[in-house]
Amino acid sequence: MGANQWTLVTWVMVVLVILIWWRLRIRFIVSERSWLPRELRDAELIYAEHVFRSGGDVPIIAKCDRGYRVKKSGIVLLELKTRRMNRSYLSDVIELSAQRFAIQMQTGECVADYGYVLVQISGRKVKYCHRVELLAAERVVALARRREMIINGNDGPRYACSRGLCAKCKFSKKCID
Amino acid sequence: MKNIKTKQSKAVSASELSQMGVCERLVMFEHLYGKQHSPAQRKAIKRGLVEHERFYQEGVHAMAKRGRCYIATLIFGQCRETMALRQFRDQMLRPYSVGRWAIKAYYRTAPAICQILEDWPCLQPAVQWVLRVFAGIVARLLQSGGGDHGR
Repeated sequence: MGANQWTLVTWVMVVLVILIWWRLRIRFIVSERSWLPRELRDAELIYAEHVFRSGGDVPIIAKCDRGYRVKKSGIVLLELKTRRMNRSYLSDVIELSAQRFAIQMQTGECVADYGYVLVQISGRKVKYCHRVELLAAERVVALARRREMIINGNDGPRYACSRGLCAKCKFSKKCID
Repeated sequence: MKNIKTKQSKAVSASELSQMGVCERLVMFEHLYGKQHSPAQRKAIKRGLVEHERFYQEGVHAMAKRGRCYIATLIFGQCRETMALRQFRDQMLRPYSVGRWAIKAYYRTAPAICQILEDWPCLQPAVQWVLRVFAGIVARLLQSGGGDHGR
C-alpha cells in the first residue's frame, strides 16, 4: 500500500473511533448511570410506581416513582419531576416525606430520611438529581391535619410566598377578592 | 377541631399534600371549585404523564434485567455457558473485594458492549468463541473447586 492509501485508512479509522465514541456518549447521557446518584447506581430497585397507603387517623395514599434498597440507609426514594427550572421545591420534599410515611406505615420497612428529586427539563433528555432532606413523620401528620382544617374552614389558609405563582394562578381574582 | 377528631379522615394523596408547600389558598380554592388549569399547565401535565410512563417502563426493564449476565445472555441465551459464567461471578468473584469491584466494572461497561454487539452482529461469533473457551475453563475450575470442598 502506498502512503496515500495508509493515510486514507488512518482517516477512516479515526472517523470510526469518533463515531463509536459519539454513540457511546449519547447512550451514556440518556442512560440511568449518568444521572443516578453514586449510592443508587448499584442499589436494588424494589419499587416502581407502587402505591402505598398508611392507616391511622390521617390516612395518606402515596405513589412512589422509585424506591431503591441501599444497605446503609434502607429504602431511598426518588421522585421524577418534569419542569422548566432545574431545581427542587418544598412541595417535592413534602411529597417524598408523605411517600416515606405511607411506606413505613404499610410495610414497616426503614425508609431513609433523605430522598432524591430527579428533574427532567422539558424538551430535553438530560436529567438532574437533587438530594433533599425529608420531613419527620410527625410533621407530615401535622401538615395533613392542617390541610384538613383548611378545607373544612376551621383555619385560615396562608398566601403563597412567591408572587410568580399568583401570576399564573387561575384563582388569583377570587383570591384577591 | 372536634369535628376532625370525631369523624374518620378522608385519605389524602401525597401529591395533594405537597400542594401545601405551594400555596395553602390554592389548596382551599381547588377543594371548593375543583382543579383549574391553564392550557400551558394542561400541556405540561400531559408531558409529565408521558415522561412518567417512560420512566416507569425503564424501571420495569431495570428490575427485569437485574442479575443477568448481559453479554453471555446476549450471545448464548440461557444455557450451560451462561450458567457457568454466572457461577463464576457468584462463587469466585463476589466473595472478594477485588472480585466485587470487577463485577461492578463489568456491569458498568456491559450494556454498552451489548449495544455494540447488537449493532454489529458480525462481531458476535468472535466474542462467542472467546466466551466459550473462557466458560469451559471456568466450568473446569468450578468442578475441581467443588470436588475439593466435597472431600
